[in-house]
Amino acid sequence: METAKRIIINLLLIILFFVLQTTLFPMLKITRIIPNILIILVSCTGFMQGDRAGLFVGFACGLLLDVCSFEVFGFYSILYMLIGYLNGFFHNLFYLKDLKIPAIMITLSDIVCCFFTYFFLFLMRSRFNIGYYVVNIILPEVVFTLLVAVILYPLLWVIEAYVFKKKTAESS
Amino acid sequence: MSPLVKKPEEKYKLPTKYWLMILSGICVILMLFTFVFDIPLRPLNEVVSVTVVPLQKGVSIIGERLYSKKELINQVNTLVDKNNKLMQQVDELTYENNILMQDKYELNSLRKLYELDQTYSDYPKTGARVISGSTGNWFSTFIIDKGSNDGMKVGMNVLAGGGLVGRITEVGANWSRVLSIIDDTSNVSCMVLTTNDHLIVSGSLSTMENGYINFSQLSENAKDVEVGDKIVTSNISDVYLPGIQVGNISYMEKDSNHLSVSGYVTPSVNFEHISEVLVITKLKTEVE
Repeated sequence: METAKRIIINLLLIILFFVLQTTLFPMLKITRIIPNILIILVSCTGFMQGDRAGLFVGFACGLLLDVCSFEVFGFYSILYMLIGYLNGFFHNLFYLKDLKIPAIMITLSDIVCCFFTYFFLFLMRSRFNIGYYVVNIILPEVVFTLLVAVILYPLLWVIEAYVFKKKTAESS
Repeated sequence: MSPLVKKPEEKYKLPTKYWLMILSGICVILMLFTFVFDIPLRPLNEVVSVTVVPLQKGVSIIGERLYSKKELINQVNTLVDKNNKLMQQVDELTYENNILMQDKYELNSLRKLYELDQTYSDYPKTGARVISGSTGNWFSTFIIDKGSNDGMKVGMNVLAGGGLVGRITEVGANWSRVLSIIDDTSNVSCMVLTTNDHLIVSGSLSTMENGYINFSQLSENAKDVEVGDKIVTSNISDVYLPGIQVGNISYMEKDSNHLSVSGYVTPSVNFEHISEVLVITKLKTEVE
């Protein structure tokens, strides 16, 4: 029952975040850069629900990205899956009221994601100008993602605290 | 708890480590399949058609609806506030004017499309709406709301406003993915309209910020080519139909090998604001 509920809520969140990422943010066009809100979801799922949930949510997000963005299928699946899984190792450090760890984890995840994208999809095609990409793409994206995370994190926090954690606290 | 003491009611779960390995394996196989053999993945495309695309369509339509609702409420409020007959009349006139302005705007855009239509009148076309932007900051792809049900096929050329936007690279039942010519991985075989000299136009993430993409491999012997010359798709390209406008040369420079010339091209399409596109429903391979 509990797991079924979790799966359904996670699936809904994945679809919601993906639609937000692809329709709302590119159309708002505040800046040329759009935030990577899927990485917020993957990272948060990882350290809130553990490595198993992070793995599956990351895989699902990556698959959607692969279908809708890039030619080589499976690249984002593997990357997001690993990020979700590795975030799961910090599950034990996670407390709902602590904001430092989520901020650090989301930032690190986004940086890792950007660097892997650059390394495999750009450097491999001899785009050697790493300084340009760091200053103009990676840095703004990380900062913007962190700003958006400040708005989106409470939503995930509320779901975790009121839909799931309350029950487990009562039962234990 | 020692691993030997196991609760009898506990269901066996495959450890996460193994899931990681299995899914990684699947991903690697998928990568090999798409990269090496170039096989499209129909079932996954269908999953996207069912789950995400209707929502994306919904969000973009709701966005437009909300905007028109907001306009309507504004107008109602002003009418309630000002009971004066004259003011009402003014409002009516303003409203009328708004509609006329909208009509005028529509007329202008239709005229533009018609002009474009005249230029490439040989090819059958269909309009489509952009329902989703790119998924990140690295690639310039977008999703349109027509797919294989509407006769879209991989390789079809996509136009907007002033010229070539890109080509379809993936098709689902009710959506298609368009790779735009400014994408870092895109290369288009083109020619200079006036002299028919061939060159390659390649998208670039790092120069697109300044509004231009790169061209290269223009022969050094093409002396007549000047800055400002029009670039159109070439007849030797195997995916792009010939004669579609791409942009203008904005800068050129001799390469260090003294054999070729390269430089920048300003695209004719404003890639910041694409909401509707025209798809040529004829493939290059069918034309020939």
